[in-house]
Amino acid sequence: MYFRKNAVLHLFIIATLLLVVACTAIQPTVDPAAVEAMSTKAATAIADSEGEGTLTDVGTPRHETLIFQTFDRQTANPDQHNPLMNYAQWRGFRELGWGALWETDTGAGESYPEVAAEMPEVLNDEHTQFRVKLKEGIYWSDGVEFTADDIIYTLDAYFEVEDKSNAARIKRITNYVKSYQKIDDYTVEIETNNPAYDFHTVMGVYTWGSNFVILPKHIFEKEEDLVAFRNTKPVTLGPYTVKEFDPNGFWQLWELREDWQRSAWGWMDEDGYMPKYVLYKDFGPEETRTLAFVQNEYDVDTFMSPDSIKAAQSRNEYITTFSDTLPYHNMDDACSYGILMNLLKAPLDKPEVRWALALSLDLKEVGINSLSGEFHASPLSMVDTQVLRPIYFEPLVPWLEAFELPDGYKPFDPNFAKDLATRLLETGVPESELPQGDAAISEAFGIGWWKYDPEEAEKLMNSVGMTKNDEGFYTLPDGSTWELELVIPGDWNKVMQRVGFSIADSWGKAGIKVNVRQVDNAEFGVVQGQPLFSIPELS
Amino acid sequence: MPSSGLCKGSLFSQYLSYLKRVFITQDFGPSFSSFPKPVSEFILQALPWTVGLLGTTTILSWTLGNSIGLLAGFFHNNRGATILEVIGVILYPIPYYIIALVLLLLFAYIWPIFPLSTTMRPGPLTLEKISNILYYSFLPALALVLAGFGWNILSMKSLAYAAKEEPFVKYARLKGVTSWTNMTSYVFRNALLPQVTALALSIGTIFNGAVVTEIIFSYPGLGLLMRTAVGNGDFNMLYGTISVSIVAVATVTLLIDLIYPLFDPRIRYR
Repeated sequence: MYFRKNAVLHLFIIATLLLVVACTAIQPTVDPAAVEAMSTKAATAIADSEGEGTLTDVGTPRHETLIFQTFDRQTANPDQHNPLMNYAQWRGFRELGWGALWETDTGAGESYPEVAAEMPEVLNDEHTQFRVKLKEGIYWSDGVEFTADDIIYTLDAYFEVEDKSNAARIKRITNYVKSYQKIDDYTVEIETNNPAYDFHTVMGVYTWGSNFVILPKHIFEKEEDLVAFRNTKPVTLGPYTVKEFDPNGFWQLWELREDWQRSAWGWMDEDGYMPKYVLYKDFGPEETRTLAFVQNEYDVDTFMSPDSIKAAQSRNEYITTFSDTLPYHNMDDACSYGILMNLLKAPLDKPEVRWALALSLDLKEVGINSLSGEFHASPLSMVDTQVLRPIYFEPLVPWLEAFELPDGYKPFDPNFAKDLATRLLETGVPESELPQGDAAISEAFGIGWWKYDPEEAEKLMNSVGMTKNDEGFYTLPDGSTWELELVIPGDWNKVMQRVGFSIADSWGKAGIKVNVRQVDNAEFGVVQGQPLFSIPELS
Repeated sequence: MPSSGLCKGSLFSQYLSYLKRVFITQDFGPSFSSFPKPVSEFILQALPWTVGLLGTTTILSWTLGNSIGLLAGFFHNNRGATILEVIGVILYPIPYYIIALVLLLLFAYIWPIFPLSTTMRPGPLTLEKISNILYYSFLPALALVLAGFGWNILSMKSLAYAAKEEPFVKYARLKGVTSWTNMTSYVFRNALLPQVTALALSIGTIFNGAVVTEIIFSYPGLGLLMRTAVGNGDFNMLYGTISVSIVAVATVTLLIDLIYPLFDPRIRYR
């Protein structure tokens, strides 16, 4: 009996220890020998991939295949490739498959002709009539030449399905275009309903893609029901075609066309190398994705948390970011994160309260705690990109510096970036990883942000009858505690999930009672789409 | 888009219409995120993966767990039996997702003999494809087997130990029945009955584990479909997957109840 009792106790201890070991094994840190083994393995994997013989999971030579982690993970609609409908959310169509009249270089902020021969020619003073000339010698992937007939047919098809399609882009075009006609095989004229100064970005690419996806007339005209047609094996204008895809929606393989030079943008290839295959694949949740990245199972990731990137880099010297210095990444994304508030609902309808929220937010600590300092702040509701900096932000700096609240307080902090760099140095970030010089620091961390000043915030709150109670939380004018509900993404966006909690913590320290509600992707979209919803949200 | 039938007829006729759609036509409407493709098509595609994974692993973990538990209980004084019991004690409390992640780290990262994520190629069911499926299913299956059989080891060990002390077992032993016969025909058959009941009761829990495992390994089954539907706000898809899951779990439980007389002759109807 004595033995049995002890055995059970021993077993319990062993089980607990093993469970702890199992849990700690999941942490990114492993012993140095293992790290060395991983690095060697990674190097070996690269060496292998450079030679012939190593195959990808989908059977293509690894050294000829560029592999991306899919941004959207699993696509819900893998065999739907009809641009007249909401087609599969693969990332390849916009990048590799379709061809647009005009593309946009988002880094430079400039549009340029892709399958159009030149920028649109404006035909009248009202800016409603445009002539579009097409390049000659561009061919669809099945060898049929691309002509004005495809443009006219696409417009016809858009108008035919406008009330049946579930794709918002269809209405965008049919509401925009009034009439159109073919002039010759390489020229069309289009008239818009209203004066249009954005013709090249509506009919071409603005940022993520074009509302006007050109259809191959010779394929679509054979179909009786354009809405039911799934276009599973699409004929493309771009230099790649779909070779194979997973019916379950986890991967899609693109193959370079043999005649890629005469595709929509084959002419752009300057270095003479286009990978033969491009694979978009989901490597699972971030935990397994990081392991796959370390093992060189894929080449490009666009959505990984700072900690995972660091962990992966520490185990594979070949993993690099855009820059060696903070914030390490290209911050020119046209999409920014921010806090959206419902201004119709008290007390957020009061500017004093909104300013108090801004001044109660210690963004430096939020950014360091949740993003390891890898962020770029913008004090205005525009993204501070290389394009907008000289034409929008810099001219506004004097105004921002002179800007006063009604009580004469100047809330703008032009030294935010410099102070952040100093703070990062204090937290142990090596100097070599910090940008050097005022210009570089400003370029890295932004042109400025609002001051962190809880005292001024309290004055503003008090001015609208919101005072702190015995527990240190702000109350509404009726005496009840003000509870702010902050809607943030759940596990599907770990980066913003952390930022959300960090903001709640910062506001909490300033006396604002915050209830954080994590929601799934779909609900987040629903909340954003309901302007009368009584909660602010983080996006 | 088929009519939902929610606003037509009396409450009773709406209910009948609902039952007809779920049980007879399996019409759950179109998927919102893949409109207008019907939800039933997605379920039909995902169901074989879940049934295959879950069916195989449940049978394996139950059989293995009970066999090991029987040995541990029957030869409880043996050092090997203690080791087997230790295995059960260790595995039993570890959640599915921890086992899955540890397996991934061990066999797909430190010793990368299995893949980190599932890659199923389309095409007909050839020998190559079958081996591909087995290769990509091995780790998810192992996670489910390991997570499932700890409890079976422990409970069967206790039952076997108790049954071994029953007078009829002692009598058989004194009569000269071999240890093997004693263990399999006397102890195992009697200790098995509560285990069959436990299996029926735990099918729902096992299904939950499969859902988590599918998400971690990106395994294209019903669980992942369910998770994706939650993310996309695809209510029809959720409605369909949950309904099918409930029906499947209830059916399996019923089947286990129906085969119970095979194990226990006392309740056979004559």
